[in-house]
This record gives sequence, structure tokens and C-alpha cells, in this order.
Amino acid sequence: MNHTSLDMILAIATKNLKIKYATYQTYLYTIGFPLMFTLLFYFIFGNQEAFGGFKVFDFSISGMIIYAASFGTISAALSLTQEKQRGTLLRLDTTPVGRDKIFLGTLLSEATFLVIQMLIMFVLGYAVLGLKWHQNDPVLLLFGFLIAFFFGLSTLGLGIIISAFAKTADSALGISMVYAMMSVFISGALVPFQSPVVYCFPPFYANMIYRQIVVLGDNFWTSTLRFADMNMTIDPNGIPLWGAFLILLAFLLATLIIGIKLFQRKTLT
Amino acid sequence: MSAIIETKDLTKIYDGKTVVDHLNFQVKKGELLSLLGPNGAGKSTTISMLTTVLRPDGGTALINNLDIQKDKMKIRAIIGVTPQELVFYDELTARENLIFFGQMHGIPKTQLKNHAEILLQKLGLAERYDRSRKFSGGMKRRLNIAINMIMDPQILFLDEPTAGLDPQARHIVWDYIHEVKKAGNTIILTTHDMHEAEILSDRVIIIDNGKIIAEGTPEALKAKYSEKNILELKFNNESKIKILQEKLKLLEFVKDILIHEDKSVSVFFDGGMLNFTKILNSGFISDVTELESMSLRQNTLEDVFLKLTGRRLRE
Repeated sequence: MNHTSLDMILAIATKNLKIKYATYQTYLYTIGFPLMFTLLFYFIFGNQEAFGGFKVFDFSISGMIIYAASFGTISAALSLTQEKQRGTLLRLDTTPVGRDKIFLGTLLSEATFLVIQMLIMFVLGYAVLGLKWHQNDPVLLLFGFLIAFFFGLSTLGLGIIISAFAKTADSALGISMVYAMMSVFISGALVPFQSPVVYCFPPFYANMIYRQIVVLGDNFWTSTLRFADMNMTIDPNGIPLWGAFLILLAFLLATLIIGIKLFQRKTLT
Repeated sequence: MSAIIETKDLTKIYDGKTVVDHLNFQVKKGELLSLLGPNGAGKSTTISMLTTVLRPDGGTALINNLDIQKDKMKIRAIIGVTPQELVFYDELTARENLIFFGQMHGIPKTQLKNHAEILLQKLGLAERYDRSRKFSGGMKRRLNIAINMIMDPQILFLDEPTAGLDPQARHIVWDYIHEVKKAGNTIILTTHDMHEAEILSDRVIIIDNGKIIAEGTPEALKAKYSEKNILELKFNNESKIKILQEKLKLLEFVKDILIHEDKSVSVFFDGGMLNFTKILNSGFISDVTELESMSLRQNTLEDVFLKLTGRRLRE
């Protein structure tokens, strides 16, 4: 990639972040809601004891972080649908920038915004509310940050798929909001939910990896997931943690590839 | 002077309907060519194909000897396109928009800052530092054009650049187009404003139903397809219009009479003021009591279109 291409990608990412900054609804959906849920859950469950010296909310924070990260779907869907709706995508198509750089710039801006979201959630959870994790090891917390970030990236592809079909920003917001809320609740990431259906939703895997490694101190090579209940009992289905990571990776790659192909097919004439 | 744009049987079909039908024309370097036609004539579709965002269903075009289907990126590097709609980021300021679109042409930000200031000054937007969503309609239209100019394109495509502008803003845009043309840039303009086409264009191509129906300089088209003088009569009742038409036909210098749906009549005649007074003195018009208004004017490209198609451009 040459210097000019990199400049173009950075310019697109910067432009997208400026637009987010100027759009107040963005704060409500992507930061306001997760903060509200975190504080609400903290005040309800903050003092309930779990096991091993942990409180219930020490486990719940991962769900809140995953919930915030899942808004990547909404953010990406909105960003690209608005680009279509206002005609700027077509105008960009008359410049030498090319769709590859438009996608890379969009992914970069979404990733940057995701980092800001994650930082806010981590600061709130661990610095402000003083939640516990395994031996208070900063390396584990960094790992948790990376897993949440990685999960956030995996939600962007789905946002691109939605933007390929959505005609207006409102419909993109509606569809992606329904998916984000549904996937976080049904996966048991936000509130414990025991059903085989949880395995169909990526937030389940991200939540499990986070809880087991960051809170319980499990190894990445641990051979099994635990149930999403507060006792973290062993799951007999035996998906290893690294397997859960591979599922997230596969979801990320599949949705990104499908999303970009669909978007191109629907918008190139 | 060599052709910088050349179309060869350029064709586009939508849902079985041919909206651009085997168009063949050339544009010389430095020329300002207007594509004139009613809504749905195929002007914007033609522009979309020439600017590489729409794939032709037949034929092709060369832009600076580059094929619109094979050399898209090279073509995009030398063209600027102002779409009909207002297309920019209204969450950004005018400066931010200009610099962003300049960067999309690969120009470093440092070079763009000065150029953006000059452009904003020319278009009367230099004092605006707020987000462009707060601009008036005219200011937004000017910004829409300025975005194109930030990279000083060899070929500029302007799709209805003054649609919806007030007269003052329209003149600012026209002055700017003149300036761009003076600098040697080639300009393709689509419009259904005949006055705009007449005062700006070196040459005009009139399109209807996707086909070229006439081509030439505004003066040549008017001379070829329409008498210079037109008497416009407007009636409040259509009962006597047919009779008047028959009577006026008897005058040898009356070349054509067109009756419109709005109860108005256009009388095309040659011979200037002398023959105008002959029409008045004939008594044919004063016989008709339902006459609402009468005006004498010189022909325009609208009359050329009217003569060629039997319709007004805005019908």
C-alpha cells in the first residue's frame, strides 16, 4: 500500500469519526445504553456474592462489555447506509479512491470508535466500580480488552451485510438494533440463559472466553467452556476456549467477506 | 482541436426501455458542451456512464483516449463530477468537505488548504466555519460545485448545477463556470434551462428519449430550426383559437403556428418589427375578445426544442 492510499484510508476514517462526533444519537446508542445498563446492574447485583470471593457483578461486567461491543453492527450499518442514502458513496465512486479503501477506512474508524467504547467500559468497570478479576493481573485485563475488541470487530461484517440491504439509515438502525439486542440477550451474555440456542450467537463465545480467562484465570488452551450460570459449571459439550476463539474468527471472516460482496453487488451498477 | 471525449453508440437500457440510444458525439478540449433535454431524456444517465459509475449496455466512450469500462481509475483521476443532488457531508464544514474530497483524489492535505481557501473565497463561503447543514440552499449548491474544483479537473461534469438557485447565486455559479472554462478546462453541462445553455455553451446537444435530435452552436440551432421572431398569444377561452390559426396562416411571412394546451399560441414569423405591425394591422387578433396577453420575443433554444418535438422542455 503506497503513501497516497494510506492517506485516503486515514482521511475516510477521520471523516467518519467527525460525523460520529457530530451525531448525538451515536453517543446514546453506543455509549449511553451500555453505561446505563452497567450502572443499573451494578446497583441491583453489586453486592450479591457469587463464589471464590467474587461477586455476581464481577462476572456480569463481561456481558456489559460484550453488549457495548455488539453495537459495532449498528455503527457499521448506519455509517455505510448513510453513505449510500446521501449519495456520497456514488460521489466517491467518481474519484480514484476505490471501494477497497472506502471499506478499509470505514473499518478503521469503527475500530477506533470501538477502542474508545471499550476504554470507557473498562474504566467504569475496573477503575470506577472497582470490580475484581483473577489476581488483579493487568495482563489478563489487557487480554480481556483484546477479546472484547476482537468480538467488536466481528460484529462489523454483519453491519455491512445489513447496510447492503437497508435503504435508509432508519431501517439500518432498526434492523441492526434488533439483531444486537437479540443476540446479546439470547446468547446469555447479559443475563444468564441456559439453552442450546446460545451456541448460535457469537456474544456467547466472547463472553465465555472473557469470563474464563480474565475472571477465573483459565488458560487459553482450556479444553472446555463452562455453563453461562453464575457457578460457571463445566459444559459437557466440551468446546475448548481456543475453539470458541476460532468460531469468533470464522464469524468475523465470513460476515466481512459476505458483507463486502453483498454490498458491492447491491451498490455497483 | 482534438476530441477529449468521444462516445461510440453509447447505450443504456433499464427494464427493457432504452434510455440512452446509440449516442455518438465528440467534445473538444476546452469546449463547454451542454446536454439539453427534458427530465428523463437520458442526460444524467449519459453523464453517469461517462463518469464511469454506470456500465453501458452497448457501445462505449473514450475520455482522453481512455475507455470508460477498462480505465475507470485513470479516468476518475482527471474528471470532476457535480451531481444534480446536493451531495456532501453536512456534518462537516465547507472546508472539511473540500479537503476531504481533495484527499480522495490523492492530493496531500497541506496542498489542499490554500486551494480550499481560494475556492471558498470565490464562491462566497469563506466566512462560514460552521457545519454545512446550517447553510442556505444557495450556499449548499455552491459548495456542491466547489467540491469538484478542489482538484482542478481536466474535464468537469456539471449535472444541473444551478437547479433551485436564486438568481444571485445562479450568477455566481455562471461566473465561476466562465472562469473555469477560461482556464482551459473542458466542461460538460446538463441542463433543462435554455437560457443557461445559451449563455454558457460553445455547443449544445439536444437529447430527447435518449437520442440526439439536434446538435450545434446555440445560434446555429436557432437559425436552423426556428424563425427569429415569435409572437406569444394567451387566451382565456379556446373557442376562437382554431379560427385565428387559419387566418394567420394566410399571411405569407407567418411560418408556423403552434397551439399549446394552456390556451396559448406561438406564432413564428420572419421579417422583424415590420411584419409584427402587419400582423397587428391585419385585424385578426383584435377580432378575438378572449385575448388575455400578447408578447413579442426572439427565439430561444426552447423554441428549437418545441419545433423539433412539439413539446416544451418542461412538459
